[in-house]
Amino acid sequence: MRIEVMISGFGGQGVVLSGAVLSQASVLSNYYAAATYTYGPEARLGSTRSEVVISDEEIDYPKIISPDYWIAMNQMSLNTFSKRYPLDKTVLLADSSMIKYFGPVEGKVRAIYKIPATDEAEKLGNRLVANMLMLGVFVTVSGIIPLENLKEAIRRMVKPQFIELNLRAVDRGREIGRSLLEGVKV
Amino acid sequence: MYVEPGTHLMQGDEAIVEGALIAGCRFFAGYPITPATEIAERMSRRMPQVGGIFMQMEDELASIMSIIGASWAGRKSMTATSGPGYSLMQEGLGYAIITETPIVIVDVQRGGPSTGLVTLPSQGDVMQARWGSHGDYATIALAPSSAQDMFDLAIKAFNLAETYRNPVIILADEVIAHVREPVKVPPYDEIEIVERRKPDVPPERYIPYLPEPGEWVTPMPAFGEGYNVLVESVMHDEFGHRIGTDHAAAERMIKRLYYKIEKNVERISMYEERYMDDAEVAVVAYGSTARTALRAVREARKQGIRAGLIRLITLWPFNDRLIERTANQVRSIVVPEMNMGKIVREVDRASKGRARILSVPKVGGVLHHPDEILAAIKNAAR
Repeated sequence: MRIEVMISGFGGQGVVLSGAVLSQASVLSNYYAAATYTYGPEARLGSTRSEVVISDEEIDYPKIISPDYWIAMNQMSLNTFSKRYPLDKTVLLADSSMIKYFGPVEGKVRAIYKIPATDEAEKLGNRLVANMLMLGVFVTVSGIIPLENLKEAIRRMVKPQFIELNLRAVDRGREIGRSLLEGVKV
Repeated sequence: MYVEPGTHLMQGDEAIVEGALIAGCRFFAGYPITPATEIAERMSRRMPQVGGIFMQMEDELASIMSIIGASWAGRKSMTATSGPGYSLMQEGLGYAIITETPIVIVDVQRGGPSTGLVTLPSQGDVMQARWGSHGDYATIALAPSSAQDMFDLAIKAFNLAETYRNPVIILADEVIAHVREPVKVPPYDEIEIVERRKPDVPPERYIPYLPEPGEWVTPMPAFGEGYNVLVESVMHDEFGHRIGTDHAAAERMIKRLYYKIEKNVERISMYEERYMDDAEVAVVAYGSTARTALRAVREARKQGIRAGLIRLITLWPFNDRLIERTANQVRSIVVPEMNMGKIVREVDRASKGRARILSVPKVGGVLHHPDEILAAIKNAAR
C-alpha cells in the first residue's frame, strides 16, 4: 500500500503544518510516512506544497508520483499541478471558498469534493484553520486514518493556545466529510 | 536529556541534532541559512538542556573558527550551513585539517551557484566537499538518505572526526533536511561512541604531531591541560614547530594528513547494496537521489531487468575498490545525481573501463522522477 497525499496552496494557509500533522497522524496509525515540503523564499503568499507519502512499508521515493488525494487550497496551485501530475486516480478535495474555476481538473480527476473550507473556518472564528478542517474531511473521506489519531497529532504539533480551535475545525471537517460521502459516491 | 529510545517522527534537521547530542556534541556555533536553519534553531533550545553551549555567530567564517577553538578546548563541536555558508567556511576547513582538529560540519545542499535556489535541493557541493579548500589534504564526507540517516550519521561523523582528528562533512540536501519521517533511536548502550583520546604521557614527553608506530594520529590534549601545543596553520613538523624550508618534514606532514584518510578507505567507507546479487545494471546513487533510484530499481525488476543499487553513504574518501568490483560484475553503471554529473567522474575513473557508465544529471532544484532513472536503467540494460 502506498498512498500519496498532496496539499497545495500559498504560504500562510498552513500547508506545511497540515503536511506535518498528517504525517504524525499516519505514524500514530502505525504507518510509515514521509512528509516533504516545497516552498519559495517568500514569507507569505508564495506557492507552497506538502507531499505526504503514507505506506505500510518503508518509503523509498518520498515525493508524489500521482496523488491519490489532493487537498487544493487555492486557484493557482490547482491550475499549476493539474498539468504536472497524472490525476486519473486522484480524489480532489478543493477549498471552494478559494477555488472558483474547476476547468483544469474537470474530467481529469477521479472525483471532486468542493468544500467551502475557508468560509467554514471563518465561522469557527479563524480562517487559518481551514487547513485542519480539510484534514478532517480527508480522514473521513479516505478512511485510512482514525479521527482520534488526527486529533492526537494536532495536540502534539499545534501551539497549545490553538489546539482547541483546530480540534473544532477537524470536527467540522468530519461533519462536512460525512455529508459529502452521503451525497457523492467515490 | 536525550531523546528517548523508540520511534519518533522527526525532520532530518531535528534528527541530526539529537544524534549529535548523543554523540557528545556540546558546542554548536552557526549562522542560520535555509535549509539548515532548523538545525541551529533546535540546537539553541537543546544545547542548554544538556549543559552545552549554542552560539549564533556573525557569519560562517566565525562559525567554523569558533568550533575549532571549542574543539581545542575539549568539546565535541559542530556547525551547520548550506552552500553559500559552506563556501565561506573553506578557509577554516583547511585550518582544521592542518591543525588536525576534530569537527563536524553539516552542509545541507541547496541549488547554486551563489545564493541560487534558496529553498530547493541539490547535490552540487559533492566535489567542494572533497576539494573546496586549497592544498593537499583528504576529507571525510557522508551523505544521508533519510531522517534516520541524519540521526545515525551524526553519531558516525563525530566518531570518525575523533578517530582521525579530521573535519567530517555531512552532505545532506534540502529533501533529507526537511523530510519528516520516523526515526528509530536505539537504547543508548547500543550506540557506539568514540571519545577523544588524551595523551597518557606527561606534558614534557608529549610530541604533538608524531603518532606512535602503527598509528596515524596523536592523542589530543585540550588547552589548559598543561600540554604545550602550537596550534598553527603554518606547515609544522612533528613537534609543532613552524617549517621554513624543511622540504622533507613538510612532505611527511602532508603525506600523513592525506594518507591517514585515504589509506583507511575500507574502514571509513559505508555503503548499502540492494538487489545486487544477480545485477547486470548497477545504479550508484547517494543522498535523497538514492531513494528515487531504489524505486526505479524496483520498477526495473518488475519489468524483468536485473538492476541493483549501490547507495554510497561515505562519499569521501571514495571507495575505488567497491566500484571496480561492481564494474567487473555488471554491464553498465547508472549514476543519477542532482547536479550536472560529479560523482560519475569518480565512478568512471574507478571502474577502469570495465563497465559502461551512464550519467543522469538533474538540476533545477527537484528530485529525479523515478521514470527518468528507469529510462536510464533500460538504456543501460540494452
